[in-house]
Amino acid sequence: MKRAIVAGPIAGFVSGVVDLIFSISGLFGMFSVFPAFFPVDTQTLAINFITVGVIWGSIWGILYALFYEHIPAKGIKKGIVYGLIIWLIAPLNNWTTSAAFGYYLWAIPYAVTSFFSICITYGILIGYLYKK
Amino acid sequence: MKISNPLVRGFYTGLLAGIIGGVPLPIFRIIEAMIELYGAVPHLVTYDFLIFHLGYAVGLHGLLGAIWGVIYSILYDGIPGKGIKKGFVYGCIVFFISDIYIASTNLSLGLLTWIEEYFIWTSQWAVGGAQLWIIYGIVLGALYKRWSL
Repeated sequence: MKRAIVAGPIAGFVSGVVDLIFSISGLFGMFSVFPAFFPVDTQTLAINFITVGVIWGSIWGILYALFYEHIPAKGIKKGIVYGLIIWLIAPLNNWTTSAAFGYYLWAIPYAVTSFFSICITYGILIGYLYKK
Repeated sequence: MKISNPLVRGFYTGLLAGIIGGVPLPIFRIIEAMIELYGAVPHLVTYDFLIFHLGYAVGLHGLLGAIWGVIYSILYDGIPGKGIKKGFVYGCIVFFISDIYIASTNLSLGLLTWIEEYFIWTSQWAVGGAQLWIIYGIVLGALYKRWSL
């Protein structure tokens, strides 16, 4: 559990940085998204992404340790499977609801960027950093 | 009805639980508007809105419920409790990871920018999903056990 408490915030921090890079760089054009409906400056975005990333990275890390035995695969693959589970629960509700209410242009890039930051980045890091 | 494959069972029970959980959602919107809950949208609670909302609630939550039902079947042994209690715990976990996560991202932006809409969305996500996913969890827990061999 101690390792999860350390690994979770680290993975969450990096995940938040990836979110920020996607949001401000216009990387891959279509993936670019401002996560806010209102204009927010880069500094505010950075604080928001990193704070949310570290807090939720810690919570997801603890849950990873609790469900470790029941997640399929091993090592980094296990982390990616867990990242996929988190991506399917945490942001999915938000972007599908937004799309249902007509905010497609926000929902689609949000789904893609959160996939990279949560499923790929967070998943790989938690799988690499936390092993029982 | 008995389904032997746990993933398929999770999918169908989740689908049904999501639909059942979604049905009362328009009623909760009316109650929220009546008690003037922060974040409620009384000016939007019209007949057309409620019909749309019912379609959205049943369709989308059926889909989400099915996906999360499959995840329930994967993590089944790791969730504390038995039967309905297990489902209830899972519903609370899903509500926490999903709706509270979204509420917290809005709260964070609200505290940084002081734009009121973020606080309204925080309230909507934090309150709106609670009843839905708890009902979902209870139905899922009950059906999943009932439909097992």
